[in-house]
Formats: sequence, structure tokens, C-alpha cells
Amino acid sequence: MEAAGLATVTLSTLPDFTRSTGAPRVAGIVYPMGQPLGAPGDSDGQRAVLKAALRVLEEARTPGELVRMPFEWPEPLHKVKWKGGTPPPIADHIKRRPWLFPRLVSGDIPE
Amino acid sequence: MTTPWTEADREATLRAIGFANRQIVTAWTAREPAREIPWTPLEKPLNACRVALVSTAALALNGDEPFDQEGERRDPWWGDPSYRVLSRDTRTGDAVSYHMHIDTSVPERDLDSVMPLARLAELESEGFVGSSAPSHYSFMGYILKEKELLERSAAAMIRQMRAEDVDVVLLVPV
Repeated sequence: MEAAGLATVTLSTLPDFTRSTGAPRVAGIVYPMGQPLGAPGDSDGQRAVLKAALRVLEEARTPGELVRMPFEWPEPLHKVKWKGGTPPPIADHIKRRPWLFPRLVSGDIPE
Repeated sequence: MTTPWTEADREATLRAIGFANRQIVTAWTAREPAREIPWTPLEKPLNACRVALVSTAALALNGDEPFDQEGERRDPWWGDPSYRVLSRDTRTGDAVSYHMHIDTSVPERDLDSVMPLARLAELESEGFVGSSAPSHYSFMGYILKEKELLERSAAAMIRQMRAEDVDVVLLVPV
């Protein structure tokens, strides 16, 4: 995208990983996975996060720069339930074939 | 003055995703090759920029073609590499999330928790950004084999962004 002349910023709840993929500007936020802008209904909070993430486009000077968003989630992240409902197919698949888990970790994906 | 990302932040975000996911993400982070990072400087102030959003929440408008969940159930190592376009006036209730790895009740209750189109419209009204682009984009974030995504889907999306004079893009993985 950058090569096509578009300046990008990525708002990420796992910014160390996002950065490793070569993203040029990363706005890291300590929010639960699956709600990076903020909780449902929190319009003021979402607006503040959106502004701060877009400002990284003006602030970042160095390719690969990671800026921490200045917001805190009201409870520790590991206490937030972040996935309800049915586990994804790969979770069930690996549960029944645990010897395949290392392939998921190593990225040796079966064809 | 920007705030630095600390080791404590890294620990908090990794602890939150659970033991198995942490193992996967840590290994994937370490495995990414060092590469030259692409960079396009911001050519004008934000209040003159047209902004497009990209969400990986597998959002499709009501009535649009769903993302292929059946294909992923047949082959759990596969994920639908296509994308959908959402117009700038898309709001909560207008789109469905077909992502099987996230809590889809979040975008069902409030689209702006993952794809802030209403908030972006507000920033346009107050003059913080130049404009919200006519089109915005959603992918399904679980893709282990990225070839088709990069070569076909991303290329087509970028062509449309350029045709609509987009200046800057906010990517929001979930």
C-alpha cells in the first residue's frame, strides 16, 4: 500500500506482532483483542482512540515506529473474556490432532 | 510527545490472549524476516486527507455475499482470502461479521468498536480529517496462506483506493 502511494497506520492490540510483519506505522493499544477502538457504546472513547491512531501518521518519523496509545482499559486484559461462542475450526482440529500444533506454531501449514 | 510501548505493555497484551495463542504469536513474531519497511510520507495535513478504513473482522453488508465459513470448516487451515466493500454510511446493524475467531457480538452491538465509520464521519464534520472515503474494506483475519490475499485481494483494493483519491489508510486488525 505504501508502495502505491498510500500512507498507512495500523491500530493493533498485538503491536509487537504487527510491527514484525513490516507495518510502517503502528499504534499499539492495551485493549482486549476484538475491540481495538473501545467497548461497544463508548463513542467518546472510540473517537479519542481514532484521533490518536490517525495522529500517528503525522507523528511517526521512522519506518516501523510503534507508538503507545495513551488509554487504559478499566480492568486487567487477562480478566476480559474475549471470545464467546463456538471455538474456530482449527481449535477443534488441533485438539483432536495435537501433534499438528507445532506446524501451526512454526508456520509449516499443510497444503 | 508520543508515549513509548513498554515491555509491560507487551506482556499485558500477550498474557491476554491465553497460553496457546501466545505461543503461536510469539513464534510468528520471531519468525518474520527482517525486511525493508515500505514508507510513503504524509504529504499534507490530516485535515486535508481522505481516509479509508480496513478491518479484518470479515464484515459484509446485509445481502452481500457472506465470507466462506463452510470452506474453513472443511479445511481448518484455510481462510477466505476475499474482501468486501462497505460504503462510508455503513452503520451498526448494516453489516454482519463472518469471522469465526473473534467475538462477533462486539461488531453486532457496535460496529465502531472494530470499524469506526460513524466516528470517522464525526471527525470529517469537525474538520479533523479532510473526508471519509466513499468505500471502506473488510477482510477475514484468519489467513495462514497469504498468497491469494496479497496478489489478488489487496491489489484490487489498492486500485479502488487510488481511483477514489484516498490519501491515508487506517488498518484495524482484530
